[in-house]
Amino acid sequence: MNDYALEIKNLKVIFPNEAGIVRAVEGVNLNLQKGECVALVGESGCGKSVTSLASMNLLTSPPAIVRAEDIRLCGESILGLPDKKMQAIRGKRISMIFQDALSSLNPVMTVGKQIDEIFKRHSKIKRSEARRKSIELLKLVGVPDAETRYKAFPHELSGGMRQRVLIAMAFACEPEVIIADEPTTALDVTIQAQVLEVLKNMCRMKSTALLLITHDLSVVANMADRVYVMYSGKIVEAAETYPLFTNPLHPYTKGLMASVAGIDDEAGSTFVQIPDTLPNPMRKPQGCYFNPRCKYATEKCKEAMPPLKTLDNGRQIRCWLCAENSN
Amino acid sequence: MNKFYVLKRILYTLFIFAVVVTLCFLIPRLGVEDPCSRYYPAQGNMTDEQFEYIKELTRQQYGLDGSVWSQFIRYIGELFSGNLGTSYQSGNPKVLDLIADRLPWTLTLSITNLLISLVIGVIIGTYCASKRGRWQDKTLLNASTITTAVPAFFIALLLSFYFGFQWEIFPAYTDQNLVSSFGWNWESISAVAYNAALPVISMVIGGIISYAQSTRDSVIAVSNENFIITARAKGVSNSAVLYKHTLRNALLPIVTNVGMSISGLIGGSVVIEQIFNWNGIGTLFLEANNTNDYPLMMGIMIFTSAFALVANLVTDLCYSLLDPRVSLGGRR
Repeated sequence: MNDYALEIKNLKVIFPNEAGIVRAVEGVNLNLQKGECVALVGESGCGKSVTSLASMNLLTSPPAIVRAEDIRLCGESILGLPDKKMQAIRGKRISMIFQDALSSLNPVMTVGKQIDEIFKRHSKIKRSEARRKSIELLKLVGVPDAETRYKAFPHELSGGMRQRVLIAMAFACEPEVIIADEPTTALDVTIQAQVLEVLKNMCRMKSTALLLITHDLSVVANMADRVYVMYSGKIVEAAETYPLFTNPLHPYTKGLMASVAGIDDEAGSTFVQIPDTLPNPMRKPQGCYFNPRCKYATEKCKEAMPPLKTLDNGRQIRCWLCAENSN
Repeated sequence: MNKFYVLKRILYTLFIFAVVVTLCFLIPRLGVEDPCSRYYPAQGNMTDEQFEYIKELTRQQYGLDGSVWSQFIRYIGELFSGNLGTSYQSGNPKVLDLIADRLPWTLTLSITNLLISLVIGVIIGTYCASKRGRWQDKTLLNASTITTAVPAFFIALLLSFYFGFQWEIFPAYTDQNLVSSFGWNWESISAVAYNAALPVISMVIGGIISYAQSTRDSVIAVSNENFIITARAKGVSNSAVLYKHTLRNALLPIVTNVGMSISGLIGGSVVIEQIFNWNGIGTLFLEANNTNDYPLMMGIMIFTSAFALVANLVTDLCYSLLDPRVSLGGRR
């Protein structure tokens, strides 16, 4: 039962405002086994980041209202923990890597100080010891000349270095779970590959469970053991990476896969696009949220939201059509 | 620090100073009245020629003979040797001595004002930022609308009327023996505080609210930054997030504000000083103005602007110590 490093049960997040209620996350179930890398993919605005922030209790409420059946970290419930207790867990047992490394680092503090801060907060060690460990960490994530970089300010580092610093910070206390929220979107492709490599190696070395939030399918293929596909606040498909890429079931996942440029694509061939955009979170369509954009949509799809159905091979899917086909 | 940037900044400051000196010299001379007229003796039974001669002697005595250009050259020469000239006041005191006598009184008012405004303003601003959108925050917004619209001298007049004349809680006019009887003892100092109460309060009201408003805006802007979430995700406690991450960044623009206030420390309270008859530079300047005392007017203007320029220069150079991103002219 307690095999999961992180288990999110029926998470709901809403943001009420004057114009109405934004249902950002609608009953997401998600789990990570120890040492596993799980990707959460979806378009911008589908609720991926909100899910991650909510599970770390980092959403400010008001305005956010967070409800869940349970959120468990290695079997212990961390849902609704008081601020003080949650602070002791954050950074130590579950930590986070953010996407825009420049704005995610304090501009007036040296990166060394910012890493030290975690040691100071979570383990009672001397300043000199914290410094030694920080430099060691920087070396570990592949920052060259770590002693000098330790004293650098964020703006003095390159984008890739800054992202490595964020990774170093996340791994500082060797947490059980790391949530990486689009860790490579702000980087160019070569640096992206290096940073992913660092992330992958670190996870393997420390056997950390990684929840990778991204919209970049190449990153998913490269990193993840399992994938959750999210659409408009709901999980629409969950599967292991290989079967998902070779045989996507949900029309939305199919659309995502088709929209990726392949190496075998003929020159001049056009991308297949998913028409239209995400529904307005305040006025989601009746029935399946994807139906206005789905070319297979039937009358049934316009009437009722399909349940998330678990297939015999363990795959999960939220679609009337696929559920019928597989039976 | 980049030496070239510092040098450039200093040269620029000197250039501005030269412009200021020229303007300070020219502006009083645009007046139509002959500044010496009040010092000429009555013509009596002198012939016009004799009277002209007497007038010329008088002008020489006051340094107003010859063309404006030659006066300017003379003035600049004196300025280089650190001499701001002699006042036309009886006894012909040195301008610099007059300023030195009055300066501590003005600084007493303005520094007290700055410190109180800054400290209380930052505290209130930070508090209101944490109560964003609630009644405390809204009160601050309304108060700042009012104090921006109502000038300090109006507040001063109200205070003077009610607290000074109606209820007689504080003196509406500064006690004129305050200066002559001053000594470094408790009695004198408390007398100064008592007399300074109304002028300081009238400046401090606007000051506190303006610092509170800018602190509040700045704190809110910074707390929406990504690095604040990073800090919270590291498990940093709320108070450490506030002091080490939010305030450290939010107070950067406040330092600029303080720098600008410092440049106004001498010249900023002319009207308030006049209302409460406070024995400072502002009152001295008005006296000089009313008696066409050119050297004194120029002296005060030049001294005030030199102070402002130096204050700005120092603020600029200090800023790089606080914000590492400002690398003085950009090394890259």
